[in-house]
Amino acid sequence: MGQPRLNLSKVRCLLADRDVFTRGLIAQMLRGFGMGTIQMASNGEQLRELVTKECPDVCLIEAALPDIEASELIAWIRKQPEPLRFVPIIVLSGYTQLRLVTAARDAGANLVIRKPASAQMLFDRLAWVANSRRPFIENDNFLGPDRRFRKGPPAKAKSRRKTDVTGEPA
Amino acid sequence: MKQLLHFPRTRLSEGARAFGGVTREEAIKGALDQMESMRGDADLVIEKSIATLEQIAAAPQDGGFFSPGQLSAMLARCDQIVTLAGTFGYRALDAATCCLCDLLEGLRQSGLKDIASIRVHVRTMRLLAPGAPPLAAGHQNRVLAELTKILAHHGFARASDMADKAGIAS
Repeated sequence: MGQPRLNLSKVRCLLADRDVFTRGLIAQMLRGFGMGTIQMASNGEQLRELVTKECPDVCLIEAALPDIEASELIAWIRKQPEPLRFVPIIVLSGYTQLRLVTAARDAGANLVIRKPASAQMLFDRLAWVANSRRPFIENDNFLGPDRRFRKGPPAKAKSRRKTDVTGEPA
Repeated sequence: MKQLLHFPRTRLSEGARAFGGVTREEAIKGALDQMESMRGDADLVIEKSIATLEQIAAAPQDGGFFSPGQLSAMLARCDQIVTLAGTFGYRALDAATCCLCDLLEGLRQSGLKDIASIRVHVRTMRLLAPGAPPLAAGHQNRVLAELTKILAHHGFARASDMADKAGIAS
């Protein structure tokens, strides 16, 4: 059996980053992966417009755009009707934006990647998001992929759930 | 509290099962080929950003120190340089720029006004920029070690340490 393959030729990606050169760089990587369509936004307003109009299949969003933080945009996307609300969202954090990533994760991001993202890392993360069967959790306070996705028992914490004892995922 | 679990099928996850596509090896090779074509432009962007940092560092606007706007402008330039230097393998420049980011963030939070330290970092970045006469590895390490001493002197935290604690992919 050959190596696993990923076919992104029909996938539409929305990429939002404030810096035009960084957008170009990441877009080149995505083209190298065979991504079908890449649309780009430089701020939150453009992103909202494109999200509503184009209904992308995956979003890559910088942790802080000039006019808004990614966490606010993610919370907004998660409130949209299906299928948009379930769109996979990867947050790209610049070195100075690392303080914002917890908020992005709690707003419902699928993954956070620290820039600079190497081609290897970006491909592996996209493949992971594509292949993972993480459930989406919806309750009064949160809509997003289950944040408890690491297999194994919690580290140095008292187990509170039945499933923690066996280390099986909840 | 009511909680719902969804297992949405996305076009990205369909791509993982679709016929065709690329293997990891092919995707990464494709991406690296695409990115390499941007190296010359990236060097120019780095050069321009260092020149901007030098201009700002030479002219503090706010009573002998940098205004909040100047600090933000410096952080934005640094973020761009970290992304490009990391992507194209300029490790020493990447490390020096990360140090400057931590210094700027620390000064902003603490209210300290240490112009000299900022200028030393910017000069170091010029020394390590692409196209500058190469420094021997031993010299590079010594210079970078001196920069980290400045951070330690002020007791400022490193954003990379925080990211590691938060388990952010890099």
